[in-house]
Amino acid sequence: MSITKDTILKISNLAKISITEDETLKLQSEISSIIKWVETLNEVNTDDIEPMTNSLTNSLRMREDNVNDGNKIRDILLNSPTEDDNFFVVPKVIE
Amino acid sequence: MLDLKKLDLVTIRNSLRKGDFTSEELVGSYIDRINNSKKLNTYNTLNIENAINLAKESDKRILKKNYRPMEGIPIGIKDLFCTKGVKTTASSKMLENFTPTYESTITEKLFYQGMILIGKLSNDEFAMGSSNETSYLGPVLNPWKKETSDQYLVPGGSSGGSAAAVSASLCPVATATDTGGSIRQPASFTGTVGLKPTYGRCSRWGIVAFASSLDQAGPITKTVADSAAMLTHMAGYDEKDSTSSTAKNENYEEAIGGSLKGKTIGIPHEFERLDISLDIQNNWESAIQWYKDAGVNIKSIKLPHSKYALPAYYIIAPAEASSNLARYDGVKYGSRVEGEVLDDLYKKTRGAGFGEEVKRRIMMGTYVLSAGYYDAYYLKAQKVRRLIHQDFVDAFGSVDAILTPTTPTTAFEIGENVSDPLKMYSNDILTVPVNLAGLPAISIPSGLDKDGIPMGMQLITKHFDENSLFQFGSIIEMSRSDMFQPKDWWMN
Amino acid sequence: MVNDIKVARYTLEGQSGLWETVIGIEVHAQVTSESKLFSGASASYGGSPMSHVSLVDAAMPGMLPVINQQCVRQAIKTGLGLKAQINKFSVFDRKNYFYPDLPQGYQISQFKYPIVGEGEVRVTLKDNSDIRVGIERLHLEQDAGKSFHDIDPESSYIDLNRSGVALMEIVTKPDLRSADEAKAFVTKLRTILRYLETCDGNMEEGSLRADINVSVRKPGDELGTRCEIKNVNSIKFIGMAIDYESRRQIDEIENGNKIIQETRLFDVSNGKTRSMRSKEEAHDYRYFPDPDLLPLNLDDNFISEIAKEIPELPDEKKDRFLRNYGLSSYDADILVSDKKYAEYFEKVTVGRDPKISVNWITGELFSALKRLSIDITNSPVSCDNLGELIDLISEGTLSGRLAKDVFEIMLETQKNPRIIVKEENLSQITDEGSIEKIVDKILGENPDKVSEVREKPKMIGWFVGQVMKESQGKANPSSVNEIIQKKLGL
Repeated sequence: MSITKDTILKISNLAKISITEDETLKLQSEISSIIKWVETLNEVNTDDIEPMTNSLTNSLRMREDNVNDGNKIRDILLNSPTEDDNFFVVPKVIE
Repeated sequence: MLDLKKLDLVTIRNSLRKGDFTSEELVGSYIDRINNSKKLNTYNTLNIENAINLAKESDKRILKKNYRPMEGIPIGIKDLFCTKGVKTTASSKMLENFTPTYESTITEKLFYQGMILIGKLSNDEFAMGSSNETSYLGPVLNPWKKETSDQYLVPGGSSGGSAAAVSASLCPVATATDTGGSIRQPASFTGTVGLKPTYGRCSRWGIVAFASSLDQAGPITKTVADSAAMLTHMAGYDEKDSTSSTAKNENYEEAIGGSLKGKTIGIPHEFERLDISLDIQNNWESAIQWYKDAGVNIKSIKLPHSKYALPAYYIIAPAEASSNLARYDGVKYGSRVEGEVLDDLYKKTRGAGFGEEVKRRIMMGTYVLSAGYYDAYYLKAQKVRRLIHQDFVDAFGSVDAILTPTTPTTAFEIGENVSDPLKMYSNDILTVPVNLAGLPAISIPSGLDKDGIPMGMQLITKHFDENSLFQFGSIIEMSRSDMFQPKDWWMN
Repeated sequence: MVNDIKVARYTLEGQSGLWETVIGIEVHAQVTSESKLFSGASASYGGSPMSHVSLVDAAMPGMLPVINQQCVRQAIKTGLGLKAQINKFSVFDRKNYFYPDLPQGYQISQFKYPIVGEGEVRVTLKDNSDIRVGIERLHLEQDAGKSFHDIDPESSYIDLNRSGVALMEIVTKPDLRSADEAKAFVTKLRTILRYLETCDGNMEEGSLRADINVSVRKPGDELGTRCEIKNVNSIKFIGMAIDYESRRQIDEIENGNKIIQETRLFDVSNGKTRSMRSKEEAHDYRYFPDPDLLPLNLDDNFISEIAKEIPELPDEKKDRFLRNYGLSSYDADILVSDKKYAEYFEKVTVGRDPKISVNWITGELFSALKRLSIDITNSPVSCDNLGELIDLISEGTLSGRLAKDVFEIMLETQKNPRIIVKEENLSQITDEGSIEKIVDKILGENPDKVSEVREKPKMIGWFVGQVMKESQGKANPSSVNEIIQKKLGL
């Protein structure tokens, strides 16, 4: 399936990545050809095949309910590009 | 100055204990050689002062004979492993100033055993690439050059910095990660040994994630014995990683040696159709002969779905990556480009912070997960993944290991494949099936091609049977002609 | 199934005739646990900004989730309490979207394979009729952090203390038909969660929030287009939001407009709902199984161990109260509406008349607790003391009136009523000799009234009143009555 320019713009919006006009066209052609290539999977009959999301087969391991983390405000904020009064700061969000 | 080219991990370990040289001398020699090898662009960050201090500490311990198993041995760490207090960039502009306040489980274990961090090694940005050309700090050069040409070659990727550094003796061993071949392919391109353990064998905690269901850490070393020694100290259950296995861990060095007589190696002959270069095909034949000579049975096997591994991988890995990399948004850490409104902040930050290949994969991954396409792409790929896995399970019903080349070609020139993503991706055609099935595999230098650059053979075994990898692997090491040092053309 | 006009339980009148409102609710209930769903940071409410945050909650590079067993147990327990199917296989998925209070860029939730499937809740309405509300599913998910928009005029401030706290999302079928039904359902659900101790149900702290799906139709028609009212955080507001929204939709349709499927916000300041257009940009959450987590496989043993911990729930308790104590349905509903009420009642009523016990609890005690804003667990009148007060009445030591005086003293002093009676000399005068003395005194002092009463026997009440007054209320009124009648020969 070939990808339209609109689709590329929609995807870049979902992925929150700004792309220039040139990049848009380039991505359109590249992703179209990658998608065309991965569609070779359609040659494989996968009727009645369960998807495999991980090679491990054990059940999810559960931990005990103990509070043994947190209280590391300095660690949390050390690499923050903007921070005020122990909060992260972003442009005003209007709801 | 020590002749580092002659030093592998096992040799260093013995020499330090015997007092042939000190850790401080050793670290000093590596720093010196690294300083003279800037041209290769292997290290993103150096840890010189700390390393020297730690070496002095190790020397004291060695003198007092209370040394730890890996006491005083320097190591290079792929810049994807978070290291406490040492910048960790994933070779991305996004994290160019990120300094973790925590230590990844793997590096913690290695340092706890006495290893010394000498520096952080370059990789493809966020481990996405097969040539180490996508690092925001520029490409890493392969220490090997063709006899016939002066062109720079890629070291492979994504662990190109790790492989090039070990190959050029800029560290005796290095950590790396492998999502679709990122340890084995660069190892093959640089004449080093690259091990991808079974998925779940080594903790992923503290490693910058690319594709969580495929990522696995492993070592790049000069020898099979070094690889076994490294795995012994890297592997193990970690309660902080829900995909860490409780499978029994052992001293893998003890697996090496011993007769392989009566064991069986499987050869997937259909791989021959995958555009493998003639030199490598011949090398494969030679390797088969080495096993025959060692009394190993050779059996032809079928892995009929493996040819679909690459397209399946290029759906699954980008899908996971698109989500794993959503946390890089300029809010909590990392680069930030301010915007008028929130959406601008996100888009500008991510537009500027990620390189071209990373953006391409995030876009691709976002697309295959988006409404209306999930079933056709993502779900389909995960179904094919099960078939690929099942092929291996069936094959291992009758063989102990599988032998294939690691890559279809030897190292290519810098810039050669950059403009053609699909051609670049095809490098992983022989390594990717292993990741999808979660199996352990190792790449071992097996000869030089007609241009005098390294080739590698890949061995694959059952889940959690790394012992057999080392056992079978040492045959290649013993049988090939000994020729695995590049010439120091890059030195100042 | 076509909903026949006759079976519409509740209708609203419009210009074009009767309308039926159809409501489904998604409740987000915070799981009671010490630590968060996937990290070891505290799940407790409050805390200074960023203090309940681990590296995992802040989505630092390389951090991985590990699930909290207690949260899984609580979800299963809740499922069992909702008479629901427990799914032995469930999967955690990522719901991908960007928002500053979502540090990972995705919420770990359950999409295709939730831990709990279909169940049912019985809800008793005001008119004492029961309805059954179907539960579609229950799943576990992470809460988001909190954004503050009022600290700075140009910026929003983000605190991650809530980030990663475990929530249960409980989704009903579209089985509700009115604001009252919805309110009764949420109230009942909250009661069940509190009985199970899987969620504290504290709506002020946001432990329980509801998204309400509302649509309207002509009775018997297919379902109309629905609007979702997000994040309503009180039962009263749930009612107001539904009333407003159903009326709005009826007006829209009757004015020839179409209902657009959208997310709306309930504005507390004016009682209206309004469109949240900011949230309307095409959402595409790209759910897929979280590759950092494996599927959760539960064994029968694990589930049956949890089943053993399920306490008697309100429905069963009510049935038992009706059966064993002969209470009215009304009284039983009040008592079981809070496990603590029921416990208090059962302690008080041991060996005592249940009806008298209920009356004291729902009457004097509840109004006193309400007046003093005290929770029943901290009641100054302990259940033992209230029981003894009831005993003092039935023994004849206290009249009803005196008992109320004693009760007031108990509230103030927390003392045992027998001690109060003794200290304050409040016990009823029952010995006939003492009463006779007072009666004689009153009769002697009022000869004119004595002759009057012989003509008008109804005047005896006046004498009783005087005697009671003279005895400071301590005389047993029936004895007084009896003695006066005897003395006057009536």
